[in-house]
Amino acid sequence: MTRYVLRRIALAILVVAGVVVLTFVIARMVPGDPAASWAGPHASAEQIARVRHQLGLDRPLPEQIVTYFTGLVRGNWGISIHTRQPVLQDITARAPISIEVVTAAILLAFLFGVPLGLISARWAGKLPDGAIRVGAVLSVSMPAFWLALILQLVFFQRLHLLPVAGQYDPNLDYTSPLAQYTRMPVVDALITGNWVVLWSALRHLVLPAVVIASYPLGVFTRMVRASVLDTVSEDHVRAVRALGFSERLVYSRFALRSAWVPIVSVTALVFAYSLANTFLVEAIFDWPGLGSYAADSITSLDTPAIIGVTLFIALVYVIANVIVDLVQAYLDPRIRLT
Amino acid sequence: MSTTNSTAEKAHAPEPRLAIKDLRVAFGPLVVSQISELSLAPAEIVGLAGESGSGKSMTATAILGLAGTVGTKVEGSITLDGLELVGLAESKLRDLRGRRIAMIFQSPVGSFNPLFRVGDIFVRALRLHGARSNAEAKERASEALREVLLSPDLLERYPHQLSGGQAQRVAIAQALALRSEILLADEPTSALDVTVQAEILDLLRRLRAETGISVLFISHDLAVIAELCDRIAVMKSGVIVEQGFARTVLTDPQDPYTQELVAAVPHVGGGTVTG
Amino acid sequence: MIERPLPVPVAARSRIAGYLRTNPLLVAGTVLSLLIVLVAVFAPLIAPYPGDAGSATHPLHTLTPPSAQHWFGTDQLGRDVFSRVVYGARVSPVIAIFVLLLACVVGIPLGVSAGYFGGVIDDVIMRITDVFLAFPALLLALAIAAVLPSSITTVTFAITVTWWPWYTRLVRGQAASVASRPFVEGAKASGISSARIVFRHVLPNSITPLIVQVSLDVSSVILTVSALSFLGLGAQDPTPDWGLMVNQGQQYFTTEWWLVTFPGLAILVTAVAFNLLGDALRDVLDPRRLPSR
Repeated sequence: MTRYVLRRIALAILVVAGVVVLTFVIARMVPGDPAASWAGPHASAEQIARVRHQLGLDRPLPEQIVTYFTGLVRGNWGISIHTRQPVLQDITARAPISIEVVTAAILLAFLFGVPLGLISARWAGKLPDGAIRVGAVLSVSMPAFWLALILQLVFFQRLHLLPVAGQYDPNLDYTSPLAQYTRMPVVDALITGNWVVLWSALRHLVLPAVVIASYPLGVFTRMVRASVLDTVSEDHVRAVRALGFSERLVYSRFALRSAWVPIVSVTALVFAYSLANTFLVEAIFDWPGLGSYAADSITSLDTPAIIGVTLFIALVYVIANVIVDLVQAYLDPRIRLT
Repeated sequence: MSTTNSTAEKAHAPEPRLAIKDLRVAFGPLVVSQISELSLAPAEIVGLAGESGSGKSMTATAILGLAGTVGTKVEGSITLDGLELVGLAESKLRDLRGRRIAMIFQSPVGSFNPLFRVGDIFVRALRLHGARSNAEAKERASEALREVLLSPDLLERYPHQLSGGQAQRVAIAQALALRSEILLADEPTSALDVTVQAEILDLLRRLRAETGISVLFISHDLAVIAELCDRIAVMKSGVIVEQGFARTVLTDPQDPYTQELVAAVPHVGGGTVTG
Repeated sequence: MIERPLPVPVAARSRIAGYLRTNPLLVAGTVLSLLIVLVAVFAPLIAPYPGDAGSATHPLHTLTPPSAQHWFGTDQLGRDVFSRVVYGARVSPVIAIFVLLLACVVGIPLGVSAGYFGGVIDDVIMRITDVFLAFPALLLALAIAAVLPSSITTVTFAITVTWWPWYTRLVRGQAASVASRPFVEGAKASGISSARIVFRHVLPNSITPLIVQVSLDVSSVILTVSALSFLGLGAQDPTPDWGLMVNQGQQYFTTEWWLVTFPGLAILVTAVAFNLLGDALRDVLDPRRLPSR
């Protein structure tokens, strides 16, 4: 197992290097002269030349990449054109907020997806299966930005059930101010025992989380269904039936166990996809996370910020994949014990 | 129609433990198994021979009442010591699966869930069928393993850590521990090499002698059946074409298909047969 | 082996027929997908106001709710939303097809080369592929589309760049396993040129899983295209791109709900249709997978 772990991590580092190079390339794909856009529309030729020298754009390409890389490691991810703040600072400030939504979404997806997939497999070919499969396809095919708007309209506008935007009721900042530890309102409220804000935060979390949960929910449901159906046709399930276990146990205790492996493997993918989905959804819910930062950067053509966010999420994805691979290896005794 | 070799055999047969009469197992319009008569006496080993697709496994599945799980329907009669199994309530069927009728399969390692330790499911099965605690179950399991000449340590292992022979012994041990009266063995040695195969056959013979367990030994390999079984039934396309005492069927087959099968097995065709 | 009461293997055609009969969902998907294709093809005949899908504007009829003359209402420039939605079937789905075609054109040769030739070529190609695959798909496409000027070409390029690595990886695995089969060794030994071996043997055998994957990907690409358009990175006005229409309708959404609802519904329906179609294709083409009971 240790050999597997080491190899996996080494591979990840290689990939990270590649990721950095690729983001560098993308950054350089911006049409036009980066020095000119940094210097501004009214800069003179010599000002632009000076900026070019300042930004190191006149040095040979390999050297630029190395400088870029060392800069990144040292924490210099560039300055956002829009906010005039260091990009890394912007990102770390906003990341927890997005992570809160995405985590809530994936938990929701697990909570509903696994049982639904199981039921679907158990009653394969019958009505519950058909209904759940339809639901899963709808879930997976749902355009997130559209769902966000629709839900907002229905639950806030028409039914007045859930709040429209923000992370919690801003008035509460006066009556029960929230101490900031993790910058995630739900977590902070929980650990400081601030129940009023917790309730408000949860109510505000529902819609964004549901929207982002849509895709993972569909994926998990279909995955569990397929995996369980596959497993159930294997010999060891016949053997367990022959021992007298009920169908319910056969499915929920024995067949489901095999489903965890593909679920875990797809979780990283789903997590990263959801994180990217927040770009579309956060602005709609006025959620000040990474996603709205990215969306703003896109509209204002804030290249350093766009690159910074891309790099950040890509790194998270690489790490998530490594973790997932390691968890998978751990779950499968055939790998763990060699 | 099946050819039975002698009415004398029928007259002296002891009261069967398992009796199949006019069984019909079908997948929609397609009949996979149609048996007018087949029985298993106490402490008897009956071989069910035939090629793949002849309906042998389907018959075993039907005996356990698991025909529904592969989409087939069962009609007719299967009695266990007089208890009618066809149409029996699912909860009662579950009671006797494992406890009175056990089954072992072709791929020994494959019939254990790879994500569970071998002992896990073993113990759970014992608890399901009456063991009062995990400790008691574990003790019974260990004892059963010793009976089949394996170390109880194997309970801690994962299936992939067992050899084919070991895995099959554990499967047999399960039947032992649960004190099954009947063992359905579906191609249990087909995936094992010859020496291990011989060990398993030895084990089955010993168990029959010591516990009086009845075995329905399903195989496409007539040579193996010839070595082990008291009586043989030959199946073709879902129907039994010939059945009777092993010696008789092997030395004087009446049905043309049986004759072909027997001729294809070298030492049996030569007339040297035991059992 | 285990005897299963499977229907006796019959000709593929009757297998498909039997399968379709027992899986209404997938029949629905196939039918729906065909419908969408037909809508796209016959758009000028279906849309009551074809001009509205182009540069026509009607300042006197802006933002009218759905009615007999305008089934889906009119948008902020007075254009018939129904016509625009109908013509939209010519935008996102077509972009998706181009993307997938290009991704195949790039990905297949790379994958086959990597799998067939192995060695250094394989390593280099696969490391590059790994780097591209290290990015979540939507994200990479977004980043590329964001730094380039917004247009349909940009979106096509951006998504293609994101997509080709999946196919390279898929094909490589197949090609590698085919290349190691004895008949290929034999062909190599008898002096047949590599090109011939690749085209006549390796390629055809590596393609089936790819076809399945491509059909499953259609809906994902359509969703990605819509997402990028929603952010304003793709088609520009007056092109009737569904994602763009949702974007434009956002600010009016609380009162003029039809601007967002119908284009979005179109995206959903199209994605569902191709998802189901992809599922059906997978089940039919991959004989190892039994249809659900």
